[in-house]
This record gives sequence, C-alpha cells and structure tokens, in this order.
Amino acid sequence: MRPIDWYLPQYGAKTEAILPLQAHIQDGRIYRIPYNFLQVAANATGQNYTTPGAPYLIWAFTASITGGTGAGFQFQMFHRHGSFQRPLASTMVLNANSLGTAGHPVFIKNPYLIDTGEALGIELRSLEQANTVNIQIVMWGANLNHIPPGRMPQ
Amino acid sequence: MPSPYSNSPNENYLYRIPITVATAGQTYLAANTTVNIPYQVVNFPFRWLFAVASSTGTFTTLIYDVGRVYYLSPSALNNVNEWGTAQLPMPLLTPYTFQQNTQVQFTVTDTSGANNTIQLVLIGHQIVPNGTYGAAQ
Repeated sequence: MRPIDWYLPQYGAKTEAILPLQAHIQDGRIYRIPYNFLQVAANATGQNYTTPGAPYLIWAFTASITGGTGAGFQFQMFHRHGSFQRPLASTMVLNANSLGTAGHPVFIKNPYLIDTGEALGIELRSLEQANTVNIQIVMWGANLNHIPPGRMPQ
Repeated sequence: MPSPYSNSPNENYLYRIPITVATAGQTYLAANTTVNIPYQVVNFPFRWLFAVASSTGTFTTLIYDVGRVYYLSPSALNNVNEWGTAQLPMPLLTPYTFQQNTQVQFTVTDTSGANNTIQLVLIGHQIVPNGTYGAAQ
C-alpha cells in the first residue's frame, strides 16, 4: 500500500486502487485524536500538529469551544508529508461550517488517510473579541495497524 | 436455532451498557473532581456502535480497554466531542469490540465546576453464538 502516491501527485501514480477501501474503517481499530487549544486569547492564533504514528483513516470531525460568546473560530488543516504540505481548504473556514459535535458530527464522504510518519495539523484563529476560550477539535478515525491479517488493502 | 436474519455464526442483539458516573457515596460527580469507573465485560464480547450520555454539566472522558492495553484516545475528550444523545447519538463508523471477560475503565472529570449527574450509555451488540440467549449479567 503506497497511498502517498495518490495524495501527493508529484510522486507519480494516481490510482484509487492503492487506497484502503472505505470498508476498512470497520476493520481498523477506532481511535480519536484531540487537538487541544487551551486559553486562546481574543483574536489569537494557535497551531497544533499531530502524527498518528500508524496509518490512520479519518472519517469524522467534532469540536467544542468553551468560555466564549459563541463567536467561534476559523481554522485551516494541513496534511504534511516530509517537506510537502497540502492545505485542506483554500483559506480558513468557520468552525460552524466544517466541524460538528458528537450529536451532529461532520462525516467525511470519503475517509481521508494520514499515512505512517505523516502529520495532520490545525491552525486556527479565535473570533472572540474579548474572551479567552478553550477549543478542542477531535479527529475520529480508524487505526489501520489493527486490520486482521488477510484483510489489509493490497 | 440460527437467526433467520443472519448467516453469521454469531447472533448479535441489541445491548446497552449504562455507566453511572458518581463520586463514592454520592449520586453525582463532585465539582472539578475525577473518578475512575471500571466496567467488567462478562460473558460475551460487546460491539460498541453508538455513544450516548446525559449530564447536568460538562465533563471529559478517557476510555481505556484494560485487556488490550489500548486507550481509545491519547487524552480525554470533551463530552460535546464524544457523547451524543438518544435523539442524536454519535455513531462509531469504526465499531469497537470489547472482548469478553475484560475490563474497561472510564476516567471521567467534571469540568462544569458544579456537581454533575452523569450517565454514559454504550449502545451496541452483544455477540453470542447462535442459539444462545446470553446469561444474565
């Protein structure tokens, strides 16, 4: 499995055949990765990068924000592989337009793979004008290291 | 008798695991405190499919499968990010199966600053061999 060939086309191949099947989200082992932004001051920015350490297939996002007036925040995501970095939006997006909650999660129509050694980063800016807030963004996904033998994508 | 609805060697039926989160001797989790709630999966594996909870304030949870030595997240999640409601449950597109005779540990911390009445409910399937109705647990 060399999914990076598809994700970063400068590597060459562009075939979905090398991607894990959507069904594999059921074969992996669930893992949730929280991004914690604590005590974000009014209009302040923050960034947080996480390397899952194993092939990780994201299928949903949720987020929470506490301490503010409801102004929310805007954010951008980056998929990083070595010195390459792919933004996952053209510019910053409002949290209300791209992140849900456990009651209303935002499911990704096509699960997104972060391969071993790669990182997913989040950069955000608080839209609060006076209040300090705590923000937690959670990736829901499957750790593909735990797929039973014989069912790994070829 | 094999279930007419499944060709699996196992029969899966609805099962719910309610976890009452409370400080010792109380019916609530005391303000700004943390408790570890163990739950023992007994006779059959349990496949967790939906996360639901009710509470009177905010809290965080960290779930640990003792048998597999596996944390379901590297650190605690806010309740808003993990638990839905009966009307709006959080579905686990990647179901998680707790093996039989294993312990699950829920580390719950109140973040509301007030006494917090919390019930977590894991909704899913009890996985039993066909023809078995399951022992009382």
